[in-house]
Amino acid sequence: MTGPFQLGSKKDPGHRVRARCSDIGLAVWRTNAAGLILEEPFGDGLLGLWLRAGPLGRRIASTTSQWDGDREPDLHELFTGCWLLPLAERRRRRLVGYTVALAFGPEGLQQPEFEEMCKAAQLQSVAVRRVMRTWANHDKGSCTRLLQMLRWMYEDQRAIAEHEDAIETFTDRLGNAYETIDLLYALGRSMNELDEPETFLQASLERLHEAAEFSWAMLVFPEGVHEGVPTRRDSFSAGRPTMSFPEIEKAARELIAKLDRPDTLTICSDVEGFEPDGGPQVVVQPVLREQGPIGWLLAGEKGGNDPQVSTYDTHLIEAAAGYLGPFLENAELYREQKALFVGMLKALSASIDAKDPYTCGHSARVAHLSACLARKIGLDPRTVERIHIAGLVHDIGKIGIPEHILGKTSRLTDEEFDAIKRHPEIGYRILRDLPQFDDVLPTVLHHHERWDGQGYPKGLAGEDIPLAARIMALADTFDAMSSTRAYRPAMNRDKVFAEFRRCSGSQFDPSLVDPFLSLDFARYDELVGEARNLSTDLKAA
Amino acid sequence: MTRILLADDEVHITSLLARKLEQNGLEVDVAHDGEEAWLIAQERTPHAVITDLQMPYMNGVEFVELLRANAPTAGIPIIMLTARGYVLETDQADRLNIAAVMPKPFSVRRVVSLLESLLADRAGPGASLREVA
Ligand SMILES: [Fe+2]
Repeated sequence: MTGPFQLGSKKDPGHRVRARCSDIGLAVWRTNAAGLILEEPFGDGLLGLWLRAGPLGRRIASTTSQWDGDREPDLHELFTGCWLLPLAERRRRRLVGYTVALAFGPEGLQQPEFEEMCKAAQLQSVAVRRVMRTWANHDKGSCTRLLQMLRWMYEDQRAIAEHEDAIETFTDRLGNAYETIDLLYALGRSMNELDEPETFLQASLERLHEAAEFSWAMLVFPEGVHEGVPTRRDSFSAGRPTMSFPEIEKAARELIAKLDRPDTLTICSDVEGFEPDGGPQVVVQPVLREQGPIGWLLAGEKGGNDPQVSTYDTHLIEAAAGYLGPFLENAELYREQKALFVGMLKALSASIDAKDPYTCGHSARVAHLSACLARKIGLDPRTVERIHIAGLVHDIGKIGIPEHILGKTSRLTDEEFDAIKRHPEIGYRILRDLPQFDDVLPTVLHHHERWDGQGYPKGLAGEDIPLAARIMALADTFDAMSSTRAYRPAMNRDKVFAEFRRCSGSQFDPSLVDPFLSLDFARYDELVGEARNLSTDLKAA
Repeated sequence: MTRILLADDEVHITSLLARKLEQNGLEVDVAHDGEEAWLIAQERTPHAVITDLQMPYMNGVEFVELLRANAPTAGIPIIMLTARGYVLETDQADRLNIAAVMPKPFSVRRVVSLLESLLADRAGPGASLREVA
């Protein structure tokens, strides 16, 4: 389309003016800019036949063809009492054609020219005259005024059409701006959810696909390279493409490898490997970190009214990538920090466990089993993670218990046993001042409580004991029974299981025993093996 | 034809939504305040309503209360638009059976697709949008 409205369409101001002329009984013709007739008047019956009969059309055509390019032809008297009212139609500044209205005065119906026309059209002039009499009421003055009115009306209609068109453009742009803002709000809001980068990346792609008119959006990372990327996945995708996502990913990787400038936005046309026949464009936008691109955001198969990629599309993709870069950076930093934190805790707990050669690796195993049980009973990932951390530090209070008591092979005296029973409270006091452990404190303090209230340090019973501490009590006891201790050999698994069933409802929360016994202990057994090797090494050293 | 009543005192919002809805083959009635919206709703029962919360003469909540008390419109899907910062209490949204609350500026595509799915739900499985009427 070359302008705001299609000529002859409902939005064409010329069309609107012609419709009104017909409504007030003026027959109208439409010509092109050279004056060639394109449209004849409607109208049925005798009058319609007369208007469309050759002689009148020929006379009008010979007049209009003389206007050829005239920007404002004057009122033209075709013959006495018959006038042509020419209206130059413009789009922007260009002349695009003429609308020509025909007006009669009473004397026009008496002219020989009128008679000739009726005769040539093989119509009875008396009959035609009778039909035309009602609206053949013009004179030169009224025609001049009418022409002026039509010109004004045309100009007004033209302005209205242009404004309508402008409003539609504004509206579409506003809609696009809203989509962009909404996307950026959504991304910005969840930017802090560093815990689950995969969820954020997937949601971002879904939102981008929703906001843009592309059939698909994809985020690809270099294959098998996970350095600096907080996810193990090579790609994320959203949308409903005609190809399958693996096919798109393959074509995308080939495309990225061939890019001249993989560090800047590129709109690729006719790309091999993309459906249909490489026809639609594919947008490639790098996700940048300081050292360069760490991934690429792609979108393709644009739908909607305009299959060409617009500046709106590219802005949207650039903006999304602008969020993804820092997000990936933060998520990676967060992951590193968390790994460091957990690593430090593991080192710390391992060094405490090592005070007693028989408890080597105990904390790591308790952490593992507690987390497994927590997951099994349907706790959310964040809680599971915190229970894992609690497992690592649950015995941290043993740091304050003399080594000779912890490692004693003979029977403990009451005083010695009292000293050991103080480790939950010591642990509680050690961790109390670290805000990172607020939620872990109750677990550390109560991991030796029993369901029947016979445990320590507080003697809490039943659901008064925090759930995480009840979970940990099972894991802790299981590991203690399954390991060789200074004062007794390890129990085999059947015996441990039997013991657990026996103690369900006395020592243990009965609702946790079955889920616990149905856990997969393969990883646990691996951890036992690793610790055994380590403790052999320690003893040798 | 499925008819949507659109009520918002902000003209740019009504033209934005009306244009997109019409492009999707829906008939749209536009009102610029709650009172006008209520008059139109009584005259030409809409199949769904999108209304702003803050409007002159009668606000969105009062308008929806009237719709819910009026048999022909008691069960129709309603989407409410709000300016950011204004919140509609969840229990209020539940009480008035408002299908979704969209803070401005919203994604127009999302509003339109949400509306289509609400209408499709009402029309039952397999019915297309145009068949709802
Ligand atoms: Fe302990």
